[in-house]
Amino acid sequence: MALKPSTRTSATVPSFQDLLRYYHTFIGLGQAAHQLREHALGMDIIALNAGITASNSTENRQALLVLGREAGTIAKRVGIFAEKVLASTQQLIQVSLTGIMRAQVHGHLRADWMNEEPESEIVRSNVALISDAYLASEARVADTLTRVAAVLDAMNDELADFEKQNRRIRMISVYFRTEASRDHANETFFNAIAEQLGQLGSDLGTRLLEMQEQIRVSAQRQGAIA
Amino acid sequence: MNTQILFDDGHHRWLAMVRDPDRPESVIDTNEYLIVSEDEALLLDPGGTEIFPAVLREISRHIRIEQIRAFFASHQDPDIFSSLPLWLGLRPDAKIYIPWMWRGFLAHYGYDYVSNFVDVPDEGGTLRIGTRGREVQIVPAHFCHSPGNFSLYDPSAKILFSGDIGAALLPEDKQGLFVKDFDQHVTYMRGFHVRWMPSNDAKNAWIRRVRKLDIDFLCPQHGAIFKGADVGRFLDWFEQLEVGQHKALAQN
Repeated sequence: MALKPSTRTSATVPSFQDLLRYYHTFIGLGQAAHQLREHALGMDIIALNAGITASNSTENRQALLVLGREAGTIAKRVGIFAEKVLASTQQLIQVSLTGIMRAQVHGHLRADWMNEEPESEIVRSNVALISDAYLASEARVADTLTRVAAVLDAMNDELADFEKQNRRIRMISVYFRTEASRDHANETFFNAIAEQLGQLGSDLGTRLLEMQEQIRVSAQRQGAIA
Repeated sequence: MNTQILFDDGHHRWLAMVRDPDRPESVIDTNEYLIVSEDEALLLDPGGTEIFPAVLREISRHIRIEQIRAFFASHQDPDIFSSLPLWLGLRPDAKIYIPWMWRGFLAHYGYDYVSNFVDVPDEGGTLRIGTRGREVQIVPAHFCHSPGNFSLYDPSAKILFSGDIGAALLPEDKQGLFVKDFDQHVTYMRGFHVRWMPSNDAKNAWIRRVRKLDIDFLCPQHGAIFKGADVGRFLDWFEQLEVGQHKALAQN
C-alpha cells in the first residue's frame, strides 16, 4: 500500500461534535460565572449593611433581617455555584481538548488506513491497534458527554431555584422603596438598598436567563443529533 | 518521510526517519530516531503533533507499534514531543524518559499521562531495551540548549543522539541524510548554535563528556547526520565556537 498521508477527510463522528458544542457552552457559562461572582459580592455587601442597620432599627428591624438573610443566602449560593461552573469548565477543557485531538487524529488515520490494502502483517496489526485506540477515545468521549449532560441538568435546576429566590429579593426591593417614602429617617438608605437590589436582581435575572438559554440550546442540539 | 537504517546487527537496529516531503513548510524539519532491540523499541524525540501521522505511518512499516516500550524526550520543546497524547493514546503503558525539571511543563501536552513520566536526574543514567537488555546511556547536555537537556548514547551501535546539538537548517537542495561537505555544512548550523546555545562552559563540558565516547554517528534532531571523521570535525568546530549571545542581546 502507498504509505503517504492521505488528504481524504474521515467521517464526522457526532459525539465529537457534541463535545465541541458542550465545550463552547461551558466557555459561555464560565464567562457568565465570573459575572455571577461579582453579583454575589454585591449581594453580600447589601446583606452585611442590612444586618448592621437592623441592629439599630426598631421599626424595620424584621424586614432588614429578612433582607440580610435572603441576600446573604443568594450571595453564598451564587458564589458556590459560580465556582462549580468554573471548575466543571476547567475539567471539560482538560478532558475535551486532548480527547478531541486524539480521537480526531486517530479517527482520521483509522479511516484512511482501513480503506487501504495493508502491505504486511505488521501494518495490519498497527491498523488494528489504531482502530482500538480510536474506539477507546470514542468511548471516553461518550462517557464525558454523559457526565457533562448530567452536570448541565443539575445546573439548570439550580438556576431555576436561583430565579425563584431572585424574585423574592426583587419583592424585598419593592418593599424598601415603599418604606423609603414613609420612613424619612431612613429614606436615603432604603432608597439605596432598593436601587442596588433592583439593579443586582435585574442583572442576575438576565445572567440566569442567558445561562439557561445556553444550556437549553446545547441540549436541543444534542437532541437533534441523537 | 524517508527512513534509513543507521545500524543493524541482526538484533539491534537504529532507524532514522528524516525529510518528510509532506511536512508543511512552516513546520521546522525534524529527525526521529527509533532504536529497535529484539522485540522492544525506543523512540527518541518523537516530534510534534503536526508530523505525528507521517512518523506513525513510517514506523508502522517497520515494527508493530506495540513494540514501542518507551519514549525519550531530550528536552521540552514542542517539536520534541507535543505529539505525546497521540502516541500515548496508542501506547498507554509506555514510559517517557524526560529531564526531571520538565515534568510539570510536559504535562501540558497531556496531563493524563504524567504517571508514565520517568524523571531523569541531572547526572543522567542508563536504560535497557530488548530481551538482551541492551544498555543505552543518557548523557547530560544541560544548557545545550535547554537548561534540562540530555543526549543519548548507544555503545552497541556507537551512535550518539545529540538533540539540538549539531542541528542544521538545510536548504532545499541539500537534503542528504549525511553531512557531505563539512565546511559548507557549517554555514547551515553556525547561526543556530551561536544563538541557541547559551553557555560556552556548558557546551565545553558536553564536548569533554562525549569525546570519551566511541562515536560512529552523531545524530542531531534537525539536519544532516555526522558520520565517521565528521564527528570529530564537528566537536572541534563546536569547541572553538563562541556561543552565549545572551550578553550581547541583553543590551538591546
